[in-house]
Amino acid sequence: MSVVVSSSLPPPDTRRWTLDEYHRLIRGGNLTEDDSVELLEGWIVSKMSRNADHDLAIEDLEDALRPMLPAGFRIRVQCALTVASSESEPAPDLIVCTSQDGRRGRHPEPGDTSLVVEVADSSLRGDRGRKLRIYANGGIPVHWIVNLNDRQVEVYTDPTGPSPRPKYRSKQIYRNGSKIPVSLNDDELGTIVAKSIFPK
Amino acid sequence: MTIKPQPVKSHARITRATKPAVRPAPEVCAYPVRRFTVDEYHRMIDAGILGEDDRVELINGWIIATMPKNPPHEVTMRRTELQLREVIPEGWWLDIRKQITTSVSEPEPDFTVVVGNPDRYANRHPGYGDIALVVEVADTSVIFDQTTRRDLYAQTRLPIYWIVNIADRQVEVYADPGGPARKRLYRSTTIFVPGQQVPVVIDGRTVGQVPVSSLLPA
Repeated sequence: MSVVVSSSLPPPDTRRWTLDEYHRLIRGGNLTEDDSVELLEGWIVSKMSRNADHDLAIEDLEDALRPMLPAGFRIRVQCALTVASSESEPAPDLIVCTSQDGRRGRHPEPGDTSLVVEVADSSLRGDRGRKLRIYANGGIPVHWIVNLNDRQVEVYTDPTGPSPRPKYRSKQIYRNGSKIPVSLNDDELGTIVAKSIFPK
Repeated sequence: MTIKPQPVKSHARITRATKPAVRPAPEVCAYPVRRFTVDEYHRMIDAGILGEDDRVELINGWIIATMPKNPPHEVTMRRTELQLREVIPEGWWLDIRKQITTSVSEPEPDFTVVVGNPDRYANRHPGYGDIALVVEVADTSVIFDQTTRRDLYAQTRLPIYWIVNIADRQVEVYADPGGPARKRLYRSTTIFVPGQQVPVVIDGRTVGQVPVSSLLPA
């Protein structure tokens, strides 16, 4: 296999794929488990490699969230989430979604999903604004960005849903000892102290 | 780095008119898009996932859509075809918008002058060693043809590459590909303008002359 060496971005008119085509590529073996890719707004995108602090933050967050979850909810880490309204199938760092009843044969969708978390370090800075747009487009009610560089958690709520300029209308920032509310469908389950997520 | 969608108004209007608001606005793709090998690309074609309706090329591992052509482009295609057919010698073949295969790409040049008869390519597309001349007719695509595509053809050591440049009313002839293995360039560039004749060189031999004004729209 020839190795393509270039860091430049793809040319304009790079072909975009529908979710259906993307799934056919996976089923047909054109994309395999060795392919670390996501479908983002129709583009098949290579996933970034992640550093240790990034993955540690996910572990800490998972530990903090798990005891709060009522029956019927699950945590998924770096698994696919289908957002049909923007031809996307990202693998967010962590999501809280309803458990698997009724979704055999498909990935969780925005309607199953209460919270999407992305952990961002320097390598992910460019990634996160665009992924936020995907989650807002899908109408996922709460999106957190755990920002390792600035040691803060950004909580985005009130998504526009499908829109030419999808966004979250509300953004709150939590730092140090401030308590991040964890809510599922408007029920507040508890809080997480912001600094507990970050490396000491 | 976040690249915001640029306020290209006309573009946005077209998009909204043809597709409901749900689709994201088109923009320059700033994602690290996964590149595919020629082999993977062929498997997508064989599996029917890339079909006849897909007007695409594989360029440096990226699958890109080929732009719809406007009438000035098409009339230049016809003019160029007439002129090239006049001068191409026995033993060579003129391909029009047919794929060629390189190590990391499968572009579809507007014209390719290839050696031998069509049966030579029953099981593969023409590639390095089969091609004497490759021609792109360029209007809106001129920057891409002068950069990415030129580098690709130089890298593949296609001996001569013409751009029939409609916007600038000139024919650009790139020749003598060479240099270090991964950084090959065309070492010769010659511009021909109306009133001049472009020599047609096949396999090192000048087989005819084509007037620039015979290629460009009147």
